[in-house]
Amino acid sequence: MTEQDFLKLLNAVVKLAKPFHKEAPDLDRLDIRFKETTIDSLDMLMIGLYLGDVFGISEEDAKQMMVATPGELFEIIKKVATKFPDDVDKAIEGLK
Amino acid sequence: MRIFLTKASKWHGTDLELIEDIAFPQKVFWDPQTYKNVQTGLFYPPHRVAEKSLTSDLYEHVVANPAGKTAFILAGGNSIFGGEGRKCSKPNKLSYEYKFLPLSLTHIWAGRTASNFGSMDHIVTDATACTSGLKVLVDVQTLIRHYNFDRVIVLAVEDQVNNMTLQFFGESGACLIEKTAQDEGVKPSAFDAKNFGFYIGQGSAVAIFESEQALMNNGSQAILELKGAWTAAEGDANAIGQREDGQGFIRAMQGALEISRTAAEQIKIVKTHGTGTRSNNLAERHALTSVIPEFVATSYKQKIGHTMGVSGLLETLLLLDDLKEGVVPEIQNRTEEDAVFLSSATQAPDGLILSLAAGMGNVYSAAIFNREV
Repeated sequence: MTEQDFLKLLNAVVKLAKPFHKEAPDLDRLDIRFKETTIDSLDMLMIGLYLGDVFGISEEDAKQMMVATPGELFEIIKKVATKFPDDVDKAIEGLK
Repeated sequence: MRIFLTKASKWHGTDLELIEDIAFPQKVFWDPQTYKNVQTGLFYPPHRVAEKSLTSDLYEHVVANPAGKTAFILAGGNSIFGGEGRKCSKPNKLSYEYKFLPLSLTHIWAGRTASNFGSMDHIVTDATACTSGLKVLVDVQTLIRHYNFDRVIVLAVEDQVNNMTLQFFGESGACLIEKTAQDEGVKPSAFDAKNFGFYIGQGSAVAIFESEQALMNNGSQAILELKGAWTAAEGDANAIGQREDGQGFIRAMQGALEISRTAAEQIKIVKTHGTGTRSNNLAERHALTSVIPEFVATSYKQKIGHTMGVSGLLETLLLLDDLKEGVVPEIQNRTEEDAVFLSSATQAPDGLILSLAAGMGNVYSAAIFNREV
């Protein structure tokens, strides 16, 4: 999975995780700090669990993914993932 | 201080489907999409049901028209979000686990939802069984009249199309199960000699109430006036039953009449609780005919199912839609001619509206509304 594909997937997941109708930030680079966006700790928990579903990560591991940047998140996922989606758009659709 | 409904939104399940893989097969009014992909644990049907009524239009209206001191009430009904409703001894299509446990805690989800409307001065959750949607109107009038709130946003929601409720209601005979419907040739109805009972339904409703002063300040348009609401219990009642003399309904009605300074003669239209169970038929009919001299009464549970905690508010909003057309609809599946507990739709008379609800745990609510705003 490329960094661009990961950012595309992450942005879609953030939209799902944010409260209904709340504007989601645009995460356009891997080193942006989540704290500098509108993503809060509850959002991060949900983002971890959604990504856990996509990458086949256990619930316990997914809940530990409370990191500072998308880049750090991507690195953890590469270590613990048991699967990678062939098609990012299909993975996003599967989360709805 | 007068209180007005200024904006509302509602949703209820419209697919009538027989759920067969449960102990007591029965029909439900629902949207199967609310259970889509629930086995992943990433989706929670009660949240999806609530979001059906949480429209962009509502958020934009609230944010664009600030009204001062604002409260948010989540009327969560019976088992509310942290409940056991999803569980079943034999997994079926209604079974699920939910991974976002903080959001299954009702008040955390309420706070998160309230934040969509902007900052709040007060957030509260309510679980007054099947009266929740009407009972919280007592809180609305208290907050506005006694605590100087300008706006109260009410979200009522319930997803009782779940394993626990279908099992409990089916086993107790409180709802109409398929076997009874088939064996006895019965359809859902209320106050009827032959047909009786209800199906369970999903529903949600949002209603925004504002003080007269807030309306003058922000220019919102009044849809309806909430004149007064009251909630009461019965004496010596079974907590999961009803007194057949209707004492709970009578106390709730008398409380609402008193607090709204309304004479019983002014009530002309009644939205009943209207579950069609034997005990509710007796209790509600006796209470109404004892207190209100002349009225026409309808029920919506035959059309949308019993949406439980949201039913009082949701059905009142449905009545408003019908009244805009000048009609009080009939109670479906009546087999007798009846000009009071309506067997046919009738032209809406002038006068005030009374909405009633009853709930397990010995609770009854009444609210009085005025269309002349």
